[in-house]
Amino acid sequence: MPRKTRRRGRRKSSSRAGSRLRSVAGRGVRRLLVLAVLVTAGYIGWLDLHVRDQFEGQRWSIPARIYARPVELYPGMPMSADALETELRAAGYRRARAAKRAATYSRDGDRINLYTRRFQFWDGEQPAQPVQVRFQGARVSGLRGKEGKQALVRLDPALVGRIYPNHHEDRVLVRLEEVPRGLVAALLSVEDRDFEHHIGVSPRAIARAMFANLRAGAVVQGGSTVTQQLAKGYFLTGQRTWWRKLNDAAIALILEAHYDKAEILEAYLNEVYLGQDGRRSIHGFGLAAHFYFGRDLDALRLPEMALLVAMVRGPSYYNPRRHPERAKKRRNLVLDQMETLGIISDTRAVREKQTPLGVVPAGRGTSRFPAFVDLVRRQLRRDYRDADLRGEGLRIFTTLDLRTQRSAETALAKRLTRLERDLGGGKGMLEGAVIVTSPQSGEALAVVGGRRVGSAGFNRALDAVRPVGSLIKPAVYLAALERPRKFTLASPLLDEPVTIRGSNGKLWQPKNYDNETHGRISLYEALVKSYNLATVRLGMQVGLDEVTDSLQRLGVERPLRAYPSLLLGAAELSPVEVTQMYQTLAGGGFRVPVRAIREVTSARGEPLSRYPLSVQQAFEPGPVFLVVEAMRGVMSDGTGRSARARLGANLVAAGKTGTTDDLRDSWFAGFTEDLLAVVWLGHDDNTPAGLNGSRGALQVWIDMMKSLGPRSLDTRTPNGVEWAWTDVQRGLTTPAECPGAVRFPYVRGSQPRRGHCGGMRAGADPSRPG
Amino acid sequence: MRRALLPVVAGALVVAACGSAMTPRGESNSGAAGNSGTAVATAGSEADGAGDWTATVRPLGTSGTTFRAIPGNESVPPPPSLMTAQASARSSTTNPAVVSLLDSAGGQFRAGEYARAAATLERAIAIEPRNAWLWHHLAGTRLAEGRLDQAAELAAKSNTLGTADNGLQVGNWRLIAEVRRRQGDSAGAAAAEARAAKLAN
Repeated sequence: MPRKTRRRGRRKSSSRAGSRLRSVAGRGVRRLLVLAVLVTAGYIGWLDLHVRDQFEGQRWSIPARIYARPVELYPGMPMSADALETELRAAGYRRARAAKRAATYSRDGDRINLYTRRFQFWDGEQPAQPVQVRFQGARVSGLRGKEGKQALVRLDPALVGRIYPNHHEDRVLVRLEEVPRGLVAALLSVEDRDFEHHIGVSPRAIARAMFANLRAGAVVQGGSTVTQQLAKGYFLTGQRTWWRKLNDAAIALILEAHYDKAEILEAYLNEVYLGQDGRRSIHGFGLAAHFYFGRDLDALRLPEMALLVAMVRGPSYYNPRRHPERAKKRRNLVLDQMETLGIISDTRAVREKQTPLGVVPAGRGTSRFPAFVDLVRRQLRRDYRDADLRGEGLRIFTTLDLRTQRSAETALAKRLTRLERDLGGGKGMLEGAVIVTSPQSGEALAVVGGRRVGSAGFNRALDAVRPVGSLIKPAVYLAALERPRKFTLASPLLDEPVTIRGSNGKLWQPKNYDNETHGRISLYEALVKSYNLATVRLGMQVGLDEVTDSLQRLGVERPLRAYPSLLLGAAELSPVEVTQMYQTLAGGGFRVPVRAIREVTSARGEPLSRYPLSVQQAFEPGPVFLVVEAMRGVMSDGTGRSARARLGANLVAAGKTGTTDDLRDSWFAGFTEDLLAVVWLGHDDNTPAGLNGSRGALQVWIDMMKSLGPRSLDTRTPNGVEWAWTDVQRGLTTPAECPGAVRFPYVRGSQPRRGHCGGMRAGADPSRPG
Repeated sequence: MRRALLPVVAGALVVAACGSAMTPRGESNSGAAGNSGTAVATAGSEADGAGDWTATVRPLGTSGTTFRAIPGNESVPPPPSLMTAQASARSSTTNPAVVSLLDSAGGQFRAGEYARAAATLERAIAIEPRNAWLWHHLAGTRLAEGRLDQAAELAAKSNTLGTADNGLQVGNWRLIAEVRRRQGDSAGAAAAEARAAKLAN
C-alpha cells in the first residue's frame, strides 16, 4: 500500500490541471469503490458471523418433554390385549396389517405384534425391535422378540406433555437419519430439485419453477432453494423486498459454503414453519407429524408426508383442518410431482391420491394430563430454574400410568354426573379430585384435578385444602396402638356423650354421624364404624400432642394445631397430603415420598438427575398392621362395605371414609396391594355438597378399582405380631372354641390375660375365616 | 443492482471461505454449545453430516440425585455378599422378568454403575413390590453409593417384608452393622452384628 501512494504522489506532481481534475474525480470514485467494498465486506462479515451464530448457536428453545412411565411387558403380567392396544395408541403407534416398521402394531385376537421405536432411555438407548405378545384372558401369556422368547420388554413411553418456552415455539427435533426417505423425496421434488447440486441459489430452479407453474397453471414449485427458505428464518422481518431477497441469497451462499447439505437439510426440516396452535407455533416436521397426525414422523404414511410437504407453501392457506379440499388438492399435486420424477410408480400415485387426509382433531398435541404435569412441574421446580424447564429440551421421565390415569378420569367424571342426577341439584357444581399411587414405591400413577379433564385450571388434587373429617382417625388409633401396654384392638372404649372445654373456655360436644351412642365397644369396632364419641375419648386419653406427632410422622408437613377438634378431622389437607399420610400406612410404617418423576435427562439423553426410591421408617410395623387390620374391617363391615358388594368379597382392601360438617366434603382413602387412591368430592365454594364419604368419594374409588382390577392386599403378619382369640366384653384371651370369641392381632406381649369361655355376645369379627 | 450483487456474492464466498478456514467446525460448534448454560440443541456438524444433537444443561438440582462420575478410589467396596453373581438365585422369585432385571442389576453393580443398578432394581420392585430380596439388594446398592442412611432404611424395610427368610434377615442386619460402623457408631454396629449372629444360628 505505501508504495502505491508514493507513485501516485509522483504522478500528481507532474500532471496538468485537466488531468488533475480527472484524477480528483477518479480518486473520488476509487475511494467510493474502496469504501463500498469495505462496507460490503464488513456487512458480509457481520452477516457471516450472524448466520453462523444462528446456525450453530442456540437457535432453538425446546420445551421440556414429559413422558409417561414405560410399559414393561412380561409373561404373567396382568394386562389385557385391549389395554395394551390403548397404551400403544397413546404412545402414537399405528395399527397396520403387519407390524414391520417402528411404531406400528397389528392385532389378531389375543395376539399383538408390535414394532417398538428406537428410544433413548435415561439408562441407555434401546433399539427398535419387533415384539410378539400373546394374551390369555387379562394376562400376558407369551413374549417373543427377535431372538425368541423374552422375559421382559420395555416399550418406548408415550409423550404426555411439554413445558413450553415463553414464546411458545415448539419442536420435536428430528435427526436426518430418522426422517423417512419418502418425506425428503417429496420435499425436494416440489421445493428444491437441485438441492444436491446447487450452491445455495439456483437460477435453473427459478427458470424451471416458472415453466412448471405456467404449465400447471398454479404455483407448484418455488424458485427459492431449501437453503434460501431456511435463510428466511434468520431475519425477523418478513418483508418481501429485493433487499430481503438479496440477503436471503447471500445467507444461502454463506450457509452452503460453511455447512454440508445434510446439515442444512436437517436444520430446514426442524425449522420450517408448519402451522399454529393458538399461541404455540408449530415448527419442523417432527412436531407437525404429532400436531396433525398424533404420531411420530417415522410412523407416517406417504400421503401424510406429502400433506406436510404440501403445507410448506402456506400452512394456514393449506391448513388441512380448515381447508381440507384445498389441502388435499395440493397434497395430490405433491404426489403427482413425485410420480413425474419417477420416485413413485403411476399406480402408487393413483392409489395414494385416493386416501383421506387422515388428520386427527386438533388439541391432541397439548397435554391431556395437566394436573399430573402440574405435579411434575412442582417437583422439578425444586431443582431446576423455570428457564431450563422451558427451553432446554429436558426429557422428563415420569411415573404416570396412562391406564390408571384414564380410569381415574373416567370414574370421576361419570360418577359426578350420576351423583348430580341423583341429588337433583345444580349441574356442574360438584367437583372432585383423585390421586393414585403405587403404595410401596410412592410413585404417582394418576392425578386428576377436576371433572373437566384436559383443561388446566384449579388443580384440586394439589390445591384443594379441605377439612379431612374421619380420614384423620387412623392417625389417632395409630397413636394409641403404638402404646401396646395401654391400648390394643380389643381395648374397650365408651361411645357415650363427651364434653370438652377448650383453652378458650368454650365447650365442645361432638356427635356421632348417626346421632346415636353405642355404649361399650372395642377400639377395633370404633374405627371400623367411625364412631366420633369413642374416637374423641380415645384421642383425649392418648393425648393431642401424641396424635399430632403421629400425623407428622405419617407425613403431614403442614403445621397442625393440637385442638380437640383435630381428632375428628378439623385439620385441613389437600388430597396429595392425604395420599402421603395413607402411603405410610400402606407401606407398613415406612414413609415414602409421593414421587412423580423418575429421571431427568438432557435433550440428548445424558442423565441429569434421578429421583430414587427412598424410604424412612416412621413406625414399627406392628401397630401399623393393627390399624390396617381395622381399615380392612372398614371395607368389609364398616363405612366402606359397599366396596365388598361391588368389588367382590375376595378382594382384600383397606380404607377409610371421611365426611365433614353439613356434608361439605366427601372423602375416601384406601389401598389394595398395588394401588392406593385418595378421592375428594365437594363444591369449590365450600357449600354443602350433600354427600358423605361412602355415598360419594368411595363410589368413585370403587368405580376406578373395578376397571383396573387391583390385587388383593397382602396381609402377612409381620414379626412381633400375634393373633389371639379374645373375649372383648370381659377383656380376656380365650380358647378358640369359645362362643363369640373374636380373633385379634396383638403387638407381642400385649394380649390380655388368659381366661375360660364365658357367656358373651357376638361382636365384629376382624378375622375372615376361610 | 446487478453490479451490487457481484461483490456481495464474491465477498460472501471470500468471507465464508476465510471463516471456515479460520474456525474449524468442531471448535466453533463446541464454542457455541459451551458458552452458556442455556444452550439447547444445535444441528451438529459431525463429519458424517448426519447431525448429532449437542446440548449442555447444567444440573442445578440438589434434592434430586445429580450424576457424577463415580471415582474409583473413593467409592466404597461393596460387602461381598451383595449383588454378586447369581443374586437372582437368592431372590425368591419365579418371575423371569424380575430374574432378568436382577441379572442386569448385578452386572451394573459389578461394573460400578450403582445408579443404574439402583434404577434397574427399582424397575424390579415395581413388578414385585413385596419381594424382600429386591429391597435388600437396593440397600446394598445404596451402601455402595455411600448413601448410608438410605441403605439402613431399605434394609429395615427388607426385614419387615422378609420376616420368614432367616438368611435375608442376617444379610440385612450385617448391612445395617456396616452402615453403623461407617457412621462411627461402633456400639450400634456391634448390636446389629449380634442380631445377625443370633439369627444365623
